[in-house]
Amino acid sequence: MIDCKQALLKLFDYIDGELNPTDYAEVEEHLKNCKHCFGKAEFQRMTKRIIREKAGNESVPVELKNSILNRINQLNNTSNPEPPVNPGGARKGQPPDLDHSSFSHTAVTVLSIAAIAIFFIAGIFGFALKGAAGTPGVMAEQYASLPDPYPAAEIENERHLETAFGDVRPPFVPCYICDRTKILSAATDNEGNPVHKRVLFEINGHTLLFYCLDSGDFSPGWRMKHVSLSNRDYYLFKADDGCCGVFWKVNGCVNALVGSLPADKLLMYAGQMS
Amino acid sequence: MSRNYVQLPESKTKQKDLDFQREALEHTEAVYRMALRLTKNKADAEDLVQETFLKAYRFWDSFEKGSNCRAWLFKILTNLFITSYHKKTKEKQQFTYDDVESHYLYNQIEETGNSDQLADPEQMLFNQLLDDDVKKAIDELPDDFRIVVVLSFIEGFSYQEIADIVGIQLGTVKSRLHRGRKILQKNLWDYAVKRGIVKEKK
Repeated sequence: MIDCKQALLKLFDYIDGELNPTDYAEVEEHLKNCKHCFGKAEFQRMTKRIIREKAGNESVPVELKNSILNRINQLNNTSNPEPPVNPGGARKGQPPDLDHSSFSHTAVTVLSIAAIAIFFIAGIFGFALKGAAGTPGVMAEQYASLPDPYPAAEIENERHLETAFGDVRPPFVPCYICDRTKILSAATDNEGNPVHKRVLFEINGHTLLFYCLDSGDFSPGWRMKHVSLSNRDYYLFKADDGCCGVFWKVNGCVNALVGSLPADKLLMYAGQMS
Repeated sequence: MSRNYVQLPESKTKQKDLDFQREALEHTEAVYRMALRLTKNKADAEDLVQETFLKAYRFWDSFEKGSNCRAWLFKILTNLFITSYHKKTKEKQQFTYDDVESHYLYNQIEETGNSDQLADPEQMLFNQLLDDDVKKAIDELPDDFRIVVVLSFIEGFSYQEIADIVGIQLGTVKSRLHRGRKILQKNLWDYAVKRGIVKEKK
């Protein structure tokens, strides 16, 4: 049996889980029989827990992860310059080749690991497809020429539910809707063109009307913030209940990722996807 | 039918980026939290975090896959802090705190007739302290003690892990933690008095 003095000497190691089994058992035994030491032990345990809770609740600035990614990209670009995939660059009304950022893909894997349902949906930028918007045939042609970035097997695996969205066809670019997010409807435009410009999301009871991004036509209460990452523009919105979305342009269309995830996580996935 | 979906990585050279993002950037929050306690201000903390991840990225090949990535990042962070930030700040004149007991806080509460604080944990002074008070109490610790206290109290590293991260002997970890705990208790008590949560000794 150890006395109070010996027990208290080992108390902090005991609380920190640093005692060997023999010493641990001795202290444990003493605390069972000594109300005073037990009180002190409980107090210190509580102290540790509360310090951890109160001093450990910092939230990371959203921009921080982007800054890190940007700087890593810069590092890669200066040390190992890669030729651009499409030297011609993007032209209006014509989709450019898909360019690959350093942090491409994996979002699908990450999202599926998180057991988040993935659906596709999309909208388009009116301005970017001016001239082509009225002629679906032209658009279909343009998108038919784009490379198929997913092997068929992977599409099956990742449950790329193109059927979930009925007869949606290109020019729709995939948009990941995840975690308590639901597509309410997608509509054709007023002229009856098969151009689904309007999409409704329901997120945690909020209904979000999703239009062309450049018009900024989102339902009230959504704050949009411009973020630049890997030379691409992203638009973040955050609802008061913590629900977030990120939108970005791809080939004149809009990609969106919406869900009950922190903005920086979403942005990270978006960066991987674009 | 054509599909215009998400692109796959262009080449396997990008695998590094993907691994790094998955394994290292996962810990951004913890690294930032530690950086903030070390530098005591957000701007320096953000700089320190960026430097940490940049250095980690450069040395990613030397990281033993499957080992503790968080500890590895904290080692880089702590090293960077000690070499570049630590020098900047002139440490204040330090007390020895040798006269402060290990159970200072508990004894203070008992001796000053605030024992009701001990009876009900919910009423305990810490629960009434503001988050900022606790953070300041930590921030006021001298650098050497603050590093081990944060690694132990907030990040939950073992003594051996702390020794590896900071690059000191196990015994040094224990003695710094021991003294750090005492100073921290003293600081917390001072904040509790300042807030009027406890009565001071008559």
